[in-house]
This record gives sequence, C-alpha cells and structure tokens, in this order.
Amino acid sequence: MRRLVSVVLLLVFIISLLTACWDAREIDEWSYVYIIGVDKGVGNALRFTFQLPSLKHEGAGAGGQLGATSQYTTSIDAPTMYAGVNIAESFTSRRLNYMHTKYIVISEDLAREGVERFINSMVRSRQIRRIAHIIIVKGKASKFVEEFKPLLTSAISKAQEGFMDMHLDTGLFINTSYQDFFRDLKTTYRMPAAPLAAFNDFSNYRTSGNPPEEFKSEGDYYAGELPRSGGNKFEFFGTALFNGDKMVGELNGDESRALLMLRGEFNRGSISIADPKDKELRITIDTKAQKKPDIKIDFHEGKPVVNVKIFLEGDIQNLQSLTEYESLEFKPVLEEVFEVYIKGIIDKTIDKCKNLNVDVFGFGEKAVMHFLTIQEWEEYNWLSRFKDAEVNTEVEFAIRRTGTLLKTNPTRYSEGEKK
Amino acid sequence: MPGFLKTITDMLTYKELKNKERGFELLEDEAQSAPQQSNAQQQGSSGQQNSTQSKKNKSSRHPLTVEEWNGGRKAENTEDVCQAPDNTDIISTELQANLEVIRQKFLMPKNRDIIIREFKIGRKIKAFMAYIDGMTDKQTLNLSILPQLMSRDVFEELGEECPADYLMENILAVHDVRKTNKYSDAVMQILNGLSALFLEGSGECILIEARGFEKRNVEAPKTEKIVKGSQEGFTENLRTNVALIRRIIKNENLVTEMLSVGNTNHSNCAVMYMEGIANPKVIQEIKKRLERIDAAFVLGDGMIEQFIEDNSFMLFPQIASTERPDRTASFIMEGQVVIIAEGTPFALAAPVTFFGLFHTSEDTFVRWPGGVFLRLIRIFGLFCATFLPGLYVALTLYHIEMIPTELLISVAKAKELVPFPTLLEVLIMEIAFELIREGGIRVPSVIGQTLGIVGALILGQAAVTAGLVSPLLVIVVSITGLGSFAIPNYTLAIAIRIERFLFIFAGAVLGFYGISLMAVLLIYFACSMKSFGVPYFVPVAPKTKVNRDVVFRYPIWTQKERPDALNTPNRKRQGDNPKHWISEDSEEETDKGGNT
Amino acid sequence: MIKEGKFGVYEAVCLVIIAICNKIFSTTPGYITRTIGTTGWYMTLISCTTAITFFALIYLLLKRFPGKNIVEIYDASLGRVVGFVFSFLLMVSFLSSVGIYSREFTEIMKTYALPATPPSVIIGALIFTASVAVFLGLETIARVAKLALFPALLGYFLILVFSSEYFELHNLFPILGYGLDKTVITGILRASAYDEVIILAVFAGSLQGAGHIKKAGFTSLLLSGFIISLGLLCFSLVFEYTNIQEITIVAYILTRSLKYGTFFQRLDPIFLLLWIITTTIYISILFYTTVSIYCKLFRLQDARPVAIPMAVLAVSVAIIPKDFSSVLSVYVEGIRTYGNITFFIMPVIALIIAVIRKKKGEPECAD
Repeated sequence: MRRLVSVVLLLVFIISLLTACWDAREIDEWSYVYIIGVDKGVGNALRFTFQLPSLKHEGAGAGGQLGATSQYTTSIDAPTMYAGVNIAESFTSRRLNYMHTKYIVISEDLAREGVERFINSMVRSRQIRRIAHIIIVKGKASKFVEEFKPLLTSAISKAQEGFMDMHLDTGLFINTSYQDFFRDLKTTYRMPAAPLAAFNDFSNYRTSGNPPEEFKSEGDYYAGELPRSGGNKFEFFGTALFNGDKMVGELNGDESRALLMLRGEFNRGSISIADPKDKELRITIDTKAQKKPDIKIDFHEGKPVVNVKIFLEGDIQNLQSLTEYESLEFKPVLEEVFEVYIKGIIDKTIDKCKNLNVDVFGFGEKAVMHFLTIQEWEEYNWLSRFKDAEVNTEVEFAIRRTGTLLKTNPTRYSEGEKK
Repeated sequence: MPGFLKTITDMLTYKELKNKERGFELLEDEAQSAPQQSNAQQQGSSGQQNSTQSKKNKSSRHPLTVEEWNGGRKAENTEDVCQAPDNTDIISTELQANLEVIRQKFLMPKNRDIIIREFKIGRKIKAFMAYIDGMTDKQTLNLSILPQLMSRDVFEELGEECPADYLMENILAVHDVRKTNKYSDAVMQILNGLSALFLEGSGECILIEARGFEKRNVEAPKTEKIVKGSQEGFTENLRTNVALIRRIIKNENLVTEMLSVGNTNHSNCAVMYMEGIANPKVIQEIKKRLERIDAAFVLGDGMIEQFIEDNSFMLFPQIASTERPDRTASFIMEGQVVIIAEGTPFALAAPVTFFGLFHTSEDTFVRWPGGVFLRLIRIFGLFCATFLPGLYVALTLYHIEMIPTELLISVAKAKELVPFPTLLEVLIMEIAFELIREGGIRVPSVIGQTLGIVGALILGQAAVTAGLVSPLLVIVVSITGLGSFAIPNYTLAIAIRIERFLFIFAGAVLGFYGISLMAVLLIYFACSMKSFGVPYFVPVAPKTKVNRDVVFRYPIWTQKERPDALNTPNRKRQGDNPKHWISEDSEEETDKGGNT
Repeated sequence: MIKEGKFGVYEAVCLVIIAICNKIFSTTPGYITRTIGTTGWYMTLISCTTAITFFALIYLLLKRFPGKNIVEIYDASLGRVVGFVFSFLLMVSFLSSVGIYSREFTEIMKTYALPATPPSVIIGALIFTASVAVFLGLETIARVAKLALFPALLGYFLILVFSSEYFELHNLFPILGYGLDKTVITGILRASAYDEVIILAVFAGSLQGAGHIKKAGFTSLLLSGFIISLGLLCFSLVFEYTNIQEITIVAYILTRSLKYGTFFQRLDPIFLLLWIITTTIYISILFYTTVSIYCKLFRLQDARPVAIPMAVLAVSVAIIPKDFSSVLSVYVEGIRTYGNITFFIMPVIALIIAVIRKKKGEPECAD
C-alpha cells in the first residue's frame, strides 16, 4: 500500500516536471536582438528599431550545412522601450530577448535633446547588459540599424565587437560601454562622451583634382567625411561630447586621440606630421602611451590649476626624407617636433571643451583627492568650474625603435644622386 | 482501505527513535578518549540485523495472543524430534552406523554426487572413504592414499595407540590431514571437497586434503586495467586469492581469519588484516557483522557488501571493491581490513573514504607528475559525468546569456527542426546511451566491436539527421559518457549515473538554482555518511592531519604517515628520511676525499 | 537535550565565516552607501572591532559557565522566567533572520534569474533543503561548511581579481565620505552584521572547551572582517558613490560587467552557482540554530519533529512583507538595527547579572 502511495506521488512529481516550468524557455522561443536604435519618434515619444536574426534554413536540407544568417529590422513608435517590445511582439512569433544586444545606437538629434529618460529606464531590465556599447549616429538611428550588414563576416556579434575594438588600434574614436556612460551621467567627477558613427556617401572621394598643399592629418575629419570609396556604408570616427545627458559638441579624429591620451586610455595609433626640414614630406610614427599621464591639480583662489604631463613613445613607421632621423643626432629634433604637434592638438581639444564647459577628461577624479568629505566636494561643484580652469600641458615623446631599416639611402638617378 | 489510512498516518506521525545509539563510532586511542566522551558508544548495532532483534524485543513486551502461545508449544514439541541432541553428533565407533548416517545425511541414493569407497585398510580393518565426485584430485587419491592404505603391511608396527593417529603419522603420505569426531564437521568438510576416512572401531574420522577441481587461471583483471603495473587479478578460488596477497606481503603478522557466511550455502569468507596496523575495533566490528548475517544464500562480495554496509539507501558505496591483488595489499598496509569471499574475483576493503575511491594503482606506479595529472583528469571526468547534462539543460532553458552569441544562433538554427523540448531530448539521448551500455555487456563478442561503432556513430548521426536531437547534445552526451568511464570504482560510477538524472531534473525545473540546491542536498547526505566509523569525506571534512594523497598526490617520499582518520595503532609508514641514499652519497664522497 | 555531535575549531571557524560573509552578496552594500558614501570598507572594520569587543564579553560569560550553551546560561544566571524570555527572543531573532534573508534572496533571484517562478517555490525549495540539514545533524552541517568554504572563497577572490580591470583609485575619494561621525556611528550600529558569531555560544556544548571557543570566535571575526572589507573595497573601487547607491545588488552587477575579450563575457551565472550554494548553507546553519534553541528551550530530546513545523513558520515569515521595497527599508533595516540588542546586548546583560548574583557554573568533569 505504501508503495502505491509513493508511486502515485512520484508520478505526480515527475509529470509536473516534464511540462514546461514557469521560467524555462526553449532556445527557439526567443528572438535575439542584435542592435537597438533609438530615434526621436513621430507617432509617439521615441522610435525604436530592432535588428533580429532570421533563423530560416535556406537552401540546404535539414541537418546539412546551415545557410548564412540573415537579419531583418523593424521600427516601432512607442513611449518607452518596454512598450515598444510589446508592440513588436504582436507581429513576431517569438519573444524579444536583448541579452545579447551589443549596440545601443542613439541618433544625434535625440542626443542633443537629452538621453536621460531612456538610459535610466533601459538599465533597470535584467536583460540589458552594462557591457553593451553606446553609439551616437549622425542621421537616423533606424537607418544605421538597417544598413548594419558587415561585409567581412556573417557573424554579426563578432563584427560588432570587432568594430569597437578598432579604437584600440587607431585611437580615432573612443569606446564607451553602457556602464561607463551611465556612470558618467551621474558622477561628479567627469562628463560622458560617446563614439560617433555616420554614413559616408562617398562624396568626399573625388575622382579628379590635386591633393591639398597644407598638411592634413589622418584624423582631421569629422565622422562621415572620410575620403573613401567602398567598404561598409557607415564609419566610426570622432567623439560626441555630452553635458549631462545632452550632446553639446563633437570632436574629430585627432581630438579624440587627445581625449584618449588625457584620459590615459590611449592604446596606439599612427600619427603623421610634416617633415620639419621639407614641408612636403611626411613622417609617421606608431605611437603608444608609455604610462598613464601625470596629472597634478592645485587650487588658486578657488580656481583649479591643472598640470598635465603626457608620456608617449613610438616606433618610426614612415620616413620620406633622407635625413637620418634614426641617428642620435636628429632623433631629438623629431621628438621635439612631435611633442609640439601633439601638444597643439591637446591644447585645441582642451580649449574646445573648456568653451563648452565639459570636463570629459576626468580631471575631477584627481581633484577630489583634495577634499575630505562628500559634502565639501559637492559644494565645490567641480563640473561647473572647468571653464575657469587653467590647464598646462606637457608632452614627452620618446622614439624607441625604427622598424626594419636603420638608414635610408638616396635613390640613384641617371643624373646622379638626388639632393 | 484501512491499509491506506494506516500508511498515511504512519508517514505523518512521529516515531521514537528505536536506536538510541549512534551507530559504530571509531574513536581515538582509548587512553585519551575514555573519560571524555560522554555520549560515545563503543559498539553500535549493525545495520541490517537490528530489525530481527528489535522485533523480538518488541514482541516480548506485548501480552501473548492465543495463537502465539499455541505456536510456541508446537515449536517445543517438534524441536524434540528435529533437532538432534548433542550426543548424536559424535561419530560412533561402529562403521555400519557411520555409513548409515552419512548415507542419510547426503540423501543417498538419490544424490549421485557423493561417492563412498569401502575398503579394508591393511587387509584387516574395514573402512570407507566419502568424498564428492569432481571436487577431489583423483591422482592424489589413486597414487598417494589408497595404495598406501591398502598395502599389506600397514599395521605392522601398530602399538597401543589409536589406529587413526597411527595412520595419520605414518601411513597417509598427504600434505594436510586432520581428524574430527563430529558428524557436522565431517559433512561440512566433505562439502568443501576434502575426503573423509571412517575406520571401524574408531570414533574419529580422518579428513584428508586431496582437493582438486576445475578453476580459472590467474588472468589479467577484467575491470581494472592499468598500463604500468602487474597484470594479475583475483580468481574465484579463495585459496588462490589469499596466496596472491601473501606473495606481495611477506609478513608473519598478516592474519587470515576464515568465516562461514550463508546459512544454507556455507560460503567461505576470509578476513585479512595486518596485526598491529589495523585498528582492532574495526576488525572486531567487521567480524561481528559478518558472523551475524542471517541469510540463506550469500555468495560473493557483492552480497556481503550489501549486508554489512552502514547505510544501504545512500547512493555512494561505503566499501571499496577491487579485482587487483596489489591494490588489496596497499589497502591492508594502510590499515584497512580486507574481506575476500569465494565465488567472485573481488575483494572488499573497509573503511573507505570518498577520495579513496578515486585512487588506482596506476597513480602509485607512475612517476609523480603523471600521477597528479591522471588524478586531475579523473576528477574532471567525475564533474563532467555528474553535472554536464544538467548544466546543459539549465543553460539552454534559463541562462542563455552565458552562451556566446554566435554559438547561440547556430544552436537555435539547428534546433528549429527538432520537435522535442530540451528536457525530453536530453532524456532520450541519456536513456539511449544507458541502453547501449547495458546491452553492450551482453552482446556476443563477434559483433561486440561493431556495436560500439553502430551505437556511437550511426545512432548519433542518424538522430541528428532525422531531426530528433541537436548536434550539440550529441557532444554533451558523449563527453558525459566518457567522463563516467573515467571513474575507477564501478559502484561509484553507477551511483554517478543515477545522480546525473537527478541533476537533469533539477536543472530543468529551476535552472542553476535547482542544480545548486540539488548539489547541496547531495553533499549533505554524503557528508553525513560514515564508513565503519570513519566519516566519508575525511580528511577534508572533518579536518584531520594532513594527508599527502587526497586529491593531488605528492611525491612518494613525502607520505610518511598513514591516514589519520583510520586511527591505526602504528602510524609511521616511512622513516624520517626515506630517500636515505642522498645522505649516503655525500658520506661516500667525503670518505673518498679523506682517503686519497 | 538533543544530541549534537562534536566539531573542532577549524569547522567552527568555517561555519561562522559562511554565516557572516554571505551578507556581502545581499543588498546591504548598496543600501548603506546612501549614509556613508565611499567609506564602506573601513566602516565595516569599525563594525568588526565593535563585534570583537562584544564577543570578548560573551566569551567571558561562556568561560564562567564552562560547557553550557547560552540557553542554559540564561536560565542559570537570570532565573527560569527571564531566561526563558531571553532565549525565546534569541530564537525569534534567528527565525526572522532566516525568513527575511530568504525573502531578500528570493526577490533578487526573481529580479535577475527566475522572473516568472512564483516566489513561494523559490522560498520553499530553499527552506526545504535547509530543513533536511536538521535531520542529518550538526556535524554534517559543520563538515559541509568546511567543504564548501574553500571553493566559495576561491570563487569570491577570483571575481575580485578579475574585476581589477575596472579599479579606479579615485572612486574611494573623498576619503571621509559624508563625514567621519556618520561613518563611525553607522559602523558601531551596524555591528549587527557580525552577530552570527553568537552561534558559537549556542553550540558551546559541541566545542570542546572555552579555549576552542575563544580561538574560533576571534579568528572567524577577524577573517570575516577582512573578507567583507575587501569585498566592499573592491565594490567602491569599481563603482563610485553616486552609482552604487542606485544598484540593487552590487556584487551581481559587478560580475555582469566582467568582460575579457569576445569570449569571456556575460559569465554571471557561474557566480550565481557559488552564491546559491553559500546562501543555502547559511540558511541551513541559521535554521538549525533556531531549531536547536527551540529544543533546548523546551527540553526536547529529538529535533526531527520540530523541523517541518519550523520550516512552515520560516516560510510564513518570509512571505509576510508585501513587496521588495518594504523588505529593504523596513525589515532588513529593522533586523540590522535591532539585531544588536538580541545578539550582543542581551548576553552582556546576562554577564553583568551573573557577576552581581555571583552565579558560576561548576567546572564539568572532563567531557
């Protein structure tokens, strides 16, 4: 009798297990959102665009080679993101899951109005990851999401990470995660900044004409202006500056490099200058940061005085002139030229930010060490004082290696050596 | 209906603990512990056999019913007839009476196994020899015993002594003879294969060791194969097994005690231990449990293990079993007690800890880095075998954020075609795997090879192509299977296979939360276990002296002491400097330097 | 009296460390930042010091009555009635700790991992597992605590080490937070974070001698202080004070933010495994303590029939609060604020009265 009772209880238990439990969702009951785009809405407060993969099997038979994943995008006008998701679920057969969302793209005009409303609300969900990237796009975010079809690979998430990792190689734009952006919105130490993306209609790629005579560095463009043809339609270049939650300004490539150097996040980049001896020739050095910058802050009658010293080092990549800059005689010349050039860019960037009164560099992080309690610090309100700050910069540049050549010998012509 | 109600009330009401004792406890040295432990019990009650005793206790307290009273009286009456009083067990001096008794006891002439050879010893004294056909060595009988007994001049020098003694000392040229004066003893030894010689006029019977029966040769062990080590394994014959161990431990303190288990089949069972190293209390407890087994048929170590283990309802085994004599010898040298039973080529060793179940002899015979590496692989195999399917189920149902995005998309694509929910998929594959395993044992060896290939490749591939399972699952299941093959102890491997299903269900219900709770439950039950007084997870929990051979195996010359938890009287295994040759070398060098 | 086994110093230390340090995974680190700002890591050291002073007094009490546990001590020094009331209050505190912590844990699980499961299932499974421990005895719990502590600590330190990529020293400044006075006062009041050390007093019969209690208690308090302080230090280094005040569970968000390259990201469910195991053992320890005090209070011989009704009671306590906000601001705060009284002040009162009334325990024959 006891056995019968136990068997019945066991059966009840097992049967209740085999039905779907409250939280168990099969993998194929979700639809995974890759990118979320946020625009100013027309029909409602905001316009959300989602890019979802389509898991159809195209062509090959079952169990054979799986075809490439295609994506499709959908845009919805909704008051908040969760409402947008609900609306989207009325025309998709699966629930939306944004645990794997890597990009959150915000259009520029929405950023200029203020992003606080939805940034604060999106993070409350357990599915949004704080390691997602925030990107500001010039133009419409919905267009970005639609056109985000990477050309090199069909693995979208790899491509997404890859795009953002390029900033480590060039320094021409910054990388902001949701965590960083969200923190900088609320913090008293510095202001947020985000990478800029834009569409390039290849109109800068002129097919006839002469190159400019003046030196134009590779970073002296704003997003969308790169002179190129072919490749993905969008490009990441430059930085957007925020005052609180409103976008107030833009930095081009060179200035983004300066921002990274001041923040201590500069990894490497190829910096070109004009040759000091011959203004038509160019020198490129593969620059890295030696160590974090040395920032000292003093207070002079309540005004902050910031002394920054940046340490860089580099390997020579490109020498177009015959001057032996690799020798000990001429190397200091080259180093000094670089130092002056970089200091110029940094000063320009700092002035730009001072005019906008945004301290995106994080000088506040060093300033706080002079205060004892939070109340004093918040009374001082560093973020409002940046425009009065006096910033003195200094760059130290050391050229370490010269590549695989130690010396450049002149080319010989039939008329004799070129002078 | 009343049975149903009774069951429910039984389950819900509170029952007082019948055993007020705490089971067998293995304490520290008596000198230290006797005045301190106030609630320690010296000899606990054994596991299975308590029920009969307590039933008797219980029934003795109730007033007797009429049936019981009548039944008792009937038993008294029949006892007179059936049970032979003591003096009918003694062998009589009349040969005819002995013959009748032997014939009657062995149910002859129905029973054709027993041969009774009647003859005259020395042409004068009548005698007969009784033995079982097939269990004696006919050569010995024909050449060494019968000719000597039947020759004319046997009793030439017989003096005043008993003829049985005279025969044993002078005539019987066999290596082992004994005598007895009880029928029960004689019958028992005939059943064991000895030949019993009864003489006219002697109240004693001579038992001659002339055994010879078909038995298996010593072969490589079938279940515990290792690469670098001896390839001898136990056989079904008790004498051979004990001799195999004696060849490894050549010490006069190695004791073999023989016990007989099984009321009807009287199987022999040897208890081996090192006097002075094994804890006497453990020896006593084991012998006590073996002697008190009250069953009709007990054959082999498997059944003995189930009768004497502490807790039958736990999944983990509390007694280790091994097929190798070298491993058995190392158990004996550690201070454990070994039980070898007739009929199966395995030996049992008790007490054992959880970590001891992972050791194989290969760890000892291989150099130290190899030993550590092999252990780690085995433990990784254990984790895979237990947790992997459960983790897969929990991960795909509840925690998809952990899966890398690209893998997730490809898994989702593959799963589009599969009609089953994940839990059912996993159960199908796991049960199919268990079927393959179980069937593979019995498949005739001709097609045994092909079954492996069929099972693995075609079944898995066909299942994927038919859209029954997703490809990732085939990999998960095969890694799980391989992991369970890596566990050295067969009983533990079966336990792990059962636990796997528990984890699958737990993961399906509540995800990682369910798996964690189930793991904690299992650890609770495992930590509460004791194997003959030794807590199961020693030396990790509770803490005892550092043992250099638990998970990582430290080099062999660091293992100077025996495991602390076994409370052996003699703790030292190695001297203080086991690598004595190191200091000897330096002495030699200085000598040389001084001499030249 | 229920039969409890014996365990040694090592296992006692492991028990107490798991009991105390599990709080690092709760909502408290984020919640107290509202009052103290950036100074969490040394505020907890102040709490630890306060707890050590209280424990020294409790140790004196236990030394006065060797071999007796706290229920018997209350009876002996305060008399039957008042002793009964004190022990009963102690039991009620433990029971409410069990219930409220289970509820907090369940709400967090529902927020992050299992949103659709009814909370009663989660609480029920947790308390069921904890009540199994009562059937298996105290020795089992001590052994499991020892077994589980090292992997748990290893995982914990690994998380802290891996999060070092986000460390920013300036997040600790301003160094005095909202003011040194606030920090010190909160530190002293929050010594109730270390109040689980009192379980050593409840199980004083199982620890062999007062010397063992002293070693176990002080070692475990120092170690837990170090572990909690290290954890809070890492939290403050990663998140700065305006951010950390908003977060529900800081430790979980920390693990969510770990990212090393494309592959090692979103690995927080592993942290979940670790956390659930330590929480289950924590609840088992506290639950067993509750049952044990109850049995000692009413002189019961067998703890097993008490387990299931006490589990039902614990589940009911856990379901009392209506929503998460009240759990945080009313119940958890209440326990942290008033825990001091039942766990620390009451034994001190017993000590004072025992000294005044000159009550002493007889030294027991070697036990």
